Amino acid sequence: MRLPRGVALVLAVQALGTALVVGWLGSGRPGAPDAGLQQLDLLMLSERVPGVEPVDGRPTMLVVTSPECPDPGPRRLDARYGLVVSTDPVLADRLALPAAARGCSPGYVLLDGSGVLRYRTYDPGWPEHDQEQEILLESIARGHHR
Amino acid sequence: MTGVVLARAAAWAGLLALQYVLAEAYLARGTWWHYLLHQLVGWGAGLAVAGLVAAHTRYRLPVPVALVLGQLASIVPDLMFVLGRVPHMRSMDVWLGHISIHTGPRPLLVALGCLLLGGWSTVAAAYARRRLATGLAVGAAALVTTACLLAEPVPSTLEEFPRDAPPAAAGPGPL
Repeated sequence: MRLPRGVALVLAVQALGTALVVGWLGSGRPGAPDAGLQQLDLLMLSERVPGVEPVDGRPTMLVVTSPECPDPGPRRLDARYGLVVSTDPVLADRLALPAAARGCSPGYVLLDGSGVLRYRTYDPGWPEHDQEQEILLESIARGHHR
Repeated sequence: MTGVVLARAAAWAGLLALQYVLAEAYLARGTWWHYLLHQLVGWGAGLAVAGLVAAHTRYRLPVPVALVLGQLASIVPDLMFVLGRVPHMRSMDVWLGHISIHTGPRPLLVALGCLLLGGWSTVAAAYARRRLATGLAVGAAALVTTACLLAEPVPSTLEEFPRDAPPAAAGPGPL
């Protein structure tokens, strides 16, 4: 029996989509990483956290990780932006990244030059995602608002 | 005849190359989960529109065109981020629920449901089942809209972030 035009492609795309979703969920990964907020790329915050300061008044990325994570090696980030790495579990809790300092689920927050927190996310691959981070930091430097 | 075959082959090769480049771009940014969400919603939306068009007009939207147009509509905010260096904004929900779909109930299953309903709508229209095609297309739209309406708002303070939701583990591959 010959299928009407396009039907075979529709069925193939549906099968592909189903396989991708089953593969993701079947691998034990969460159905919505960090309740769907991981790497949302939306500057959702505007608050200060006592004791959290930018580097030299520059927009700054503050990474929270754990000693259990492998050393990511040299980190790339444009010199216009500050970069701080912490393994302090108390700081992780204050930044709403409790899993970051326990096990190996790093995350980071982004601050503007005056120390206002603008963004928070988990990102296990953060050392490789400098382009994403720089776009956000650039927007923060420009004064982008929600 | 040979020219037509070659043109078709070239079009398919271009389409597949586009899919590969897109998937690779999301993978490189560690955002495979986002790729799944937005591609499936986009493909489903495109097919739902194709189903509606076929059911209610004398025109036919070719399936590959419907897939690509839906896909592009769903990733406009991501294209703006990478190409225009524009962060996401809540208003970008106009692009097929691009923001709210993340924090809605069972996002991956909603996205897959949209693809299945939208696809079945196109299939129903191909068999001249107009009412069924319409119902399935409306169902796809209603599913995504309902999920977005039920979505948790994006936190605006650290206090509002969930404390027990697991982040995705690190890993080089998509699965």
